[in-house]
Amino acid sequence: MVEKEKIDLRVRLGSLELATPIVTASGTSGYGLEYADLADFSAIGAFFTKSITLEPRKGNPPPRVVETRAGLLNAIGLANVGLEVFLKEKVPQFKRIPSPVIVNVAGRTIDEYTQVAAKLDEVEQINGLELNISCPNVKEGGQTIGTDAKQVSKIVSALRQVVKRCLLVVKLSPNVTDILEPAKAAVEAGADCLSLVNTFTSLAIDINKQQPILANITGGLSGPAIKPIALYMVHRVYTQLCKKANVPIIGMGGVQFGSDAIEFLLAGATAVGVGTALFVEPNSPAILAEDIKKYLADRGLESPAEITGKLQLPEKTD
Amino acid sequence: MPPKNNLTRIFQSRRRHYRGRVVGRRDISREFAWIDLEAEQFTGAKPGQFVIVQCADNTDQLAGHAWQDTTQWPRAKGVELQDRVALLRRPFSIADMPHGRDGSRFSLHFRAVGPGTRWLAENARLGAELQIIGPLGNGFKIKDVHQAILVAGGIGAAAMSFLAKELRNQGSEVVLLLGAKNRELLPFSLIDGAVIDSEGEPSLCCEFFSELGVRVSISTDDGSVGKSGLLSETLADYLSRHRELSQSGTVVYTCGPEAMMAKIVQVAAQQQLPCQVCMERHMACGLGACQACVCRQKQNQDESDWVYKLVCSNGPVFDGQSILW
Repeated sequence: MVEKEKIDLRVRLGSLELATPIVTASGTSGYGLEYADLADFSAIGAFFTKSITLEPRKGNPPPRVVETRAGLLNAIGLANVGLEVFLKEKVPQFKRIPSPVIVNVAGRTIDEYTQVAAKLDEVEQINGLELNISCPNVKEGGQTIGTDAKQVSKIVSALRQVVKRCLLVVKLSPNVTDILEPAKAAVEAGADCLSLVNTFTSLAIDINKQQPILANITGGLSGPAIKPIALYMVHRVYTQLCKKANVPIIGMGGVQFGSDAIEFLLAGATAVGVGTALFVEPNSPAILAEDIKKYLADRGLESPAEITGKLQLPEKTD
Repeated sequence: MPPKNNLTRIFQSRRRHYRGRVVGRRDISREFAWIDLEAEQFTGAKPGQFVIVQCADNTDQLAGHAWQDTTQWPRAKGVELQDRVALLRRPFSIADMPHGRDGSRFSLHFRAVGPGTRWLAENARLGAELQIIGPLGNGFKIKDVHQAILVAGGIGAAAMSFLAKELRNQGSEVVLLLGAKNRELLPFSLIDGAVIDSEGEPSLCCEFFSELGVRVSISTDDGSVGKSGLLSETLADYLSRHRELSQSGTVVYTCGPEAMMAKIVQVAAQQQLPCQVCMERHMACGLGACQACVCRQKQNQDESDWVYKLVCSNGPVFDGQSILW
């Protein structure tokens, strides 16, 4: 047993050092200060913003969300203020965020992504860029790129040319036959870090109206319902790719309790994203960080890095 | 890059997040209940504002999350294992502040219809503690209002009781037009022996409001009590009988189903009366982060020029004329 106070929750994510392995999943904590008086920000390892696009986007018509069993279906449609307003109004708030800030970047075309990323890479208060090629709720860009390994390769290579200072994170879509293919394409094209998974394309139906519940028809499923699938995908990408390539993974999908976060670490994640659970408990990062500390202390461990990828597999028998 | 830990102190005050203890409860009918909550941190709410409440067995999530020595891992109760458990918090209008706006007591008035509200009906017993965030949102504007016409459909009435009280406290004249599907689904109890006009003329017939001296008109879709018909017709009839109201200082306030509110705004506009609407939307966070709860707001007279506004943080109260339904 190690004294809880001696445990150092810091983890390294490429060039960044995070105070804890818990990060906020993009799109679930706004532009920065929405939870300022509801959460202990010192427990957040890195703050991931909502997606930013070149031009402002209104997003999809309502209803944009519907709760399903153990899950949340959303089709926000990348509603955001656009790059210009973001730089002028939101970026100055980042000085109040104690953790590194990673801005999620989206676009309709590779050119749009590149323009936004190049501009944001010059902003000192921004420490990383997360490439959103996995949004299931837009007609152009998003997962239309992320589900095609060739396109992934193309966009990450393009971004690699303009992103010089920031950590380049690529967020993968789970809506593929094998997530390893886009993951490989991203790593080979120069991604510093992978985050997975985004939401699962899903449908909710109102049987009385015999209509879809969301105005967008389909949405992306998040929440506890997706955790086992996300864990499988993180484990696959870690063992088949990232372990050898030495590329850190941010694992996410249905993380609500400390035990969920530890599962993702064991499966191979270096850091863990919490998203939908923030809507239930905005202070989740602090609670989860405390749980991880306790878990490590009980086992005589001193750092979350010691359990990353330490899932013990049964010996093969046949 | 080292963590910027020296700046964390500003985030330590979690002033809007606390437990509320149930100190009063009244079951109004089979589906409607009213609870009073006590929470020291809760103060200064305005009518029209709301709170978000965790409505599931892991209400005790703060404790359930935390590692407890010598015990097992916190179990994911409910959410993963049971049928139809509310995952997200649920929004509720603040129905009253029984000890005044500076008090630490507030009331919620709700109808048990879904997994969240049914859980609340079962579990919000005296002494129970609920996880609360709020007050949230902007609230109604009541300054310089001389006469107020409140129009509430169904559980939309939850936003009207506190509004009526604050309006009366500043000396405004208040009348409530209350509508429901049928007698069973009236959100408030009627006073025994009260005379209820079948033409919709308000009288002192409804609990809570009669104590404030607020007359209430009842309409039901099936006519099982009060006037038979829609609230928009009740309002139009009321305004035609009370021409003296078409002057400055009269405001219509409404909360209820969207189609009803759209009609109420129209009727008010025909008489040149301003109308404030309290909007409802599915919310995920209630705090302006998730961008889920949008409604369309006109920028000017041109209906093609509109923007999405967030019901949780730009509203829930909007100028009815500005909403593109």
